Amino acid sequence: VSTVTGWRRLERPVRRALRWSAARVSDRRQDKIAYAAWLACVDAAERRGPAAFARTTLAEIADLLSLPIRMRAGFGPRVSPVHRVSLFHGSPMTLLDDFRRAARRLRSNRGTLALAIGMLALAIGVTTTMFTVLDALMLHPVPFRDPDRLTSVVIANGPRYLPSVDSQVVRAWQASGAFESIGGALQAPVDLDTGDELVTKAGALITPGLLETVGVRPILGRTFAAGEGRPGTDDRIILSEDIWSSLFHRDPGIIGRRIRVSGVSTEVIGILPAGFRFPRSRTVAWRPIDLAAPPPGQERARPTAIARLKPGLPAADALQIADRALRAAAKTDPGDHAMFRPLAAGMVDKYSTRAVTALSIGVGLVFLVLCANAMNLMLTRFSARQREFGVCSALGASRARLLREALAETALVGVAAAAAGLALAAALVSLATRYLPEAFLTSTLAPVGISWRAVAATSLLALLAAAIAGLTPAWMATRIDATDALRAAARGGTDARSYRRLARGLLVAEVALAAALLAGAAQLVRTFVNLMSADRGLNAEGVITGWVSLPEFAFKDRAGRLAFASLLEERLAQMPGIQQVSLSDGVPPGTGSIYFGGVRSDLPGVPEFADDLNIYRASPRFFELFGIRLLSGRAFAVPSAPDEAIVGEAFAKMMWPGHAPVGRTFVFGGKTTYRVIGVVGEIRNPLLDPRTDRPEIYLPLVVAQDGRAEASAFGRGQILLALRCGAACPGLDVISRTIRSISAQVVINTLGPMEADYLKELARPRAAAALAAIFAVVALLASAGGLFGVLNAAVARRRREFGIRVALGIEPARLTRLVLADAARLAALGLVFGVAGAWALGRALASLTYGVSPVDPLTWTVVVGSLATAVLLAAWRPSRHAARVLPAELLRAE
Amino acid sequence: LPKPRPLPDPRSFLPLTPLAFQVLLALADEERHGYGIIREVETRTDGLIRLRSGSLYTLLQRLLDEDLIVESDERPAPEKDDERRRYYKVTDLGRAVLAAEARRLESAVTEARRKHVLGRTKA
Repeated sequence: VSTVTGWRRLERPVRRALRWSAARVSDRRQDKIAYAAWLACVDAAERRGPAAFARTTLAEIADLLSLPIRMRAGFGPRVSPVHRVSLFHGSPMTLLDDFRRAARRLRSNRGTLALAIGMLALAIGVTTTMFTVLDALMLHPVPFRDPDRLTSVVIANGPRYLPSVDSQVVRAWQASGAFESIGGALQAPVDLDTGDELVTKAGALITPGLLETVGVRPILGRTFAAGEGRPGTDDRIILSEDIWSSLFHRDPGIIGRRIRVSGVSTEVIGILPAGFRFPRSRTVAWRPIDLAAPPPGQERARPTAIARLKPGLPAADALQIADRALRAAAKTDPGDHAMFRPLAAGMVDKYSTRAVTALSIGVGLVFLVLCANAMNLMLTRFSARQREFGVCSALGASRARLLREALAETALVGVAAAAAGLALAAALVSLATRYLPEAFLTSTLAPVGISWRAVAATSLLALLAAAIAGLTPAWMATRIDATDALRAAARGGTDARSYRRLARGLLVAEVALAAALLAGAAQLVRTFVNLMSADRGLNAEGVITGWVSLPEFAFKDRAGRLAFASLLEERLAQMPGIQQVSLSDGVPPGTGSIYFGGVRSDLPGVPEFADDLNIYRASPRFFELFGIRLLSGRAFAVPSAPDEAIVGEAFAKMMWPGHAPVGRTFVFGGKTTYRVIGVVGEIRNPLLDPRTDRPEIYLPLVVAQDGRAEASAFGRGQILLALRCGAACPGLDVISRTIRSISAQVVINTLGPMEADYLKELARPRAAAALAAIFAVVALLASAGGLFGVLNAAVARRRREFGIRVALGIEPARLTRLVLADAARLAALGLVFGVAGAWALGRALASLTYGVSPVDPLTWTVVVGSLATAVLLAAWRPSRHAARVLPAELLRAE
Repeated sequence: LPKPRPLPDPRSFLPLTPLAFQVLLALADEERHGYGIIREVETRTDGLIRLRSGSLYTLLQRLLDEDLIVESDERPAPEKDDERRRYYKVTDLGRAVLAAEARRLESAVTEARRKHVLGRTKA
């Protein structure tokens, strides 16, 4: 009694609190409720002490406070159940129980669930992988600290801009205070001597402090200090972890070691992490340059400027300051002004952008197909459990309760699928980085890898996938008319029918998506085939090409290079198995020099050619070796006159329409006049980007100058070597050794069959086609599997009916046909929708295809054919089962 | 004179929510006040169903609105009573609804038993 009186003292404040909580309920019942709540609290105090009193009081207040909200949402206490759902009703303990029960059930039904989890994991895995690629290429191409404040600074004038600037301009910008920091970078390849061989790698000269500006820390050693990069302090190099691993076997003693870099003994001072790529995507070695006192040979360097903006200073103000500094520091043309350009701008070309977008759409479709399939599996599962739900419901379980149970199971499936999907994605990403064409992956500064963004994406996808796959089946399974749930479910009543309808609808959607994907993939595959088989205007078969680069430190003058070249040609021609040798400064695909316009014909009235053209400097045997037809005139002699030129057919038609080109002249770049001595067949570059197919001009490689022969090319110190083999080519190592025997100081790059170069050029269309084909096959298999499941279930359900029909004398073959016809109907309906989808997809693919029309009959034959095969395979067993129903057996079972 | 209202069909209330069923069941054998109902339900279900006052009074209001219960005028002995307490009792309609719901549950359980949901009984 004394405790009671003790609590009574608390009565006033607690009841006030309770009444305040109940204030929103209604005035009339306020006191009543508060009083009952108070009684509950006092009772708790009397029976179980102060802790229980406090707990009960808090629980009561919480209940009262949440009541109006629950009432408004329709979750309040009711007399009769209404189909409203509360997922959040119940304590965390019961939620845990839900999961425990769900886990138990999942263990007891491994087959279906493993399949569902597998489907979802596959969906999540491929989508995450695609997202990772998409993220690195398009969403976050600059993976540095505070990338928004990093920018390159260029000089713009009207629509044009110069990406590089004079070094004094960079220094003026450094002094202007417009930026937190700014530095310059130059591309400068390095010839690394590993002791065994010379390896050429992409490198850069950077100003000290630039690495700090970008925000990278060395994993070993240090970065450049101010003052490094002057004559005397320029023999330092920082290497990428990649090179450190591949060339130096992660030797921990690398720091401080001196290696030969482009012929100069250079000290390694630091190692940067493997993922760091800057300023270009392939840069793996950095040397210092001090723009105030550059090392010899770099006095006239024009670096690109990379700046970090000041946090407080608006970009427009920074630009203004930079502009003033620019005008003060250098002679400028009217209209020149400083401009910011994103660091990663222009790194990812249109093809990659489009291909990655299209493939992402494809992956999205595969995701949907797999989710639909998983949903179908969950549907089967929940429809089997409907009877159980019926019993639970009859015993008083609310729908919310059932739904919660169903969702707990779905959530577990989702979590399992997310984990498996993430693992799969990690494996796929490492596969992708290994096998996807470099051009796809290294055209960005961001390394392709699983990041936290990818993990977030995975989680989101898992949520989405589980929601798609689990919500509707759970919703349907718990929609129970309690009074006759048991009987209806047993007999296959209305709910079972709606299950079937949904399952078949899903199947039609799957078939449609698979058909659209197939059509898209077929177009990309045909594109690749077309590109491969297109006429290139030259014969690459049996040709070996390679780049021989003559490092400047070893071949100081033109005469030396020419001597080497002649010796090279001579020695190789003597090798057994080699029919012809030619030297040039490039050959399709992809090499040679590209010039921009400025060509005038000697024919009056012909407009100046103002477009890109390819110029190849070639030795006389070039045309014969590559099988480029000489249409008129003659080939080069050795040596040729310096003004001789051979032109391609297309160029000739443009310059001298209706006239014989041989003997005519043209002026290049406003000063040099060339005389046409021959016309050759056009080299075509069958690529998706028609701009890469430029008209050609050929100039002689070796010219007679002042009475002696001189090499016109090799300015860059590189010679393209081409060999045509007879019946059998000599091994590449034999060729390499022969070249090295002439001079040990040359660097041989990419020596191999020319066909391989073409394949590389087409690597992206090939990868796109292969990926699309994989997506399509996955979608096709998934829909075939789904079809199999649905048909199997249908046959099992109709066993009785079939048995009766057999008993009445129907031919079993007709039952087979019945099931097959059912499958065909579903597939045909899917195909109809698929055609619409393919049309939409075809429009998205238009820029990625070559010589394929979206209504291409072959494409559609393939689509319909593979679809029909898949359907037939899926329907085969169920249809045979239908025919094998034994009426006697069925009757016994009844 | 107020017109006598026709008694509605008890089955039209089915199925009852578990809470409503429990409250009617608590009032089936004797009149109780709100807190008494909470305690009765709690002890009878071994703490499985614990009503909170706010929820209970909202539900009681609903049951009152549906004429399944009424407030009682009878009071216990003054020394056991608190004048502010309201007592509730089941109406005839409430009793009929309760019985219908119990029968429904019973048939459901029978059905479940027939299908051996509750395990096989010894023959």
